Amino acid sequence: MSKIFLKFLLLFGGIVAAVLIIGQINFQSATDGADELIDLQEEKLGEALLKVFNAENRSVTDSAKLAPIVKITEKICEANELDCEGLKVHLLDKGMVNAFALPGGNVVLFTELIAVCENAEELAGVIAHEIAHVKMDHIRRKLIREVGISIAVGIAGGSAGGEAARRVANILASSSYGRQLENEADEQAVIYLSKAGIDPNGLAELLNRIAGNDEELPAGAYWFSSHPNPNERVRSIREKAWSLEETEFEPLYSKEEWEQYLDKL
Amino acid sequence: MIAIKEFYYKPNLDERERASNSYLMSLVVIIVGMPLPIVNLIASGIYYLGNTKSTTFVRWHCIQVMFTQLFLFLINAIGVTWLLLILLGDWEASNYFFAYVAVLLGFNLSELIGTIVSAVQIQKGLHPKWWLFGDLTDAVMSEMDYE
Repeated sequence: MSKIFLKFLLLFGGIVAAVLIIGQINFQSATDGADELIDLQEEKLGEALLKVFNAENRSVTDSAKLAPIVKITEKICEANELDCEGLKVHLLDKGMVNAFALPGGNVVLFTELIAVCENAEELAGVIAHEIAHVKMDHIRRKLIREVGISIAVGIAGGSAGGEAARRVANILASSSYGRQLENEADEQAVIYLSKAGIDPNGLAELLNRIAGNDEELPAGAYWFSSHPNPNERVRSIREKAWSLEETEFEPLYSKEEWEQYLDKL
Repeated sequence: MIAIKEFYYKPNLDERERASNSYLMSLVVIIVGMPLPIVNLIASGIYYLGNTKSTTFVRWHCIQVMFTQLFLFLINAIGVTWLLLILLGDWEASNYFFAYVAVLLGFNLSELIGTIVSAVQIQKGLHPKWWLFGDLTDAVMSEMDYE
């Protein structure tokens, strides 16, 4: 029996020793390296896709027009300890109600979307929702699902043609992330906004107007068509906002200030 | 780690077939058993129960298979539990976890090769005795009614 006991000890000791020795290899640095490589590819892909939009639309650089966007983004980033430097919010002059996230931490807003926002809180809701898509890695998942990783890498590396970049840009700008990811982004957006002291019900109000088929909304409201089930989402956003501790918020801009801003836009 | 010996008597063809099947049994259920390692253990246990009235040679090998499957079940169960704690709990996927997975895969691969080698050797009428598990089987069999 002592022979068996010794062999048991040897086996147990061998397993422990093997785990301790092999455990000295830094497996995590290998995966970190892979993540850095993916991040670099995504940054290049984001730049390539931005070129597509910039070629077709005028980029707004007027600091007065960008002021609310910068203010909202900074407030959200600071309150939620997000990497603001890695996040680039772009405003493009286009008569289409749309906003979307691109790889590499890029968020694109069209001027027409801001024009339909009745207050800054509604715009903040859209920005927070798109930031959530960026921070929750939804774009990578959407790219893999809708485009395929090889085409995405081809565009990032410049080997795929301009037509492929236009097609991918169109997909990212106009298609939904799917019910689950949209709900996740909504929920995260409510948390971001609440922590930043911005009323998260702005996002619900905007979606609610869409759900009610507001006749004043212009045709081609792409942001809404790419965000399905508005009624259900309005309900869950309100429930989430209600469940948070913070329930009273200072308005970002007064009604007059916001109207003046929209006039300038 | 498998010593190929001769049993104390010459097993006939039927015994070789039955004893060899006890190893093949663990191979047949390996696809089901991969996500649920207990399936292999249960399969070898059922096979043993079906052969309790069989000869010493057959029972000896059924028991050796059960010991190897029990060991694999334990080592895989630890790995699965660790993985669940990482996925569902707040455990970190540390370097030691990856090291354990490497060791676990090594044991599973060795067991797979050992099983095939043993099944083939038994068909030839030989008596493959695994390191540690062969000794354990001897100890258990000596307590039982040795023919």
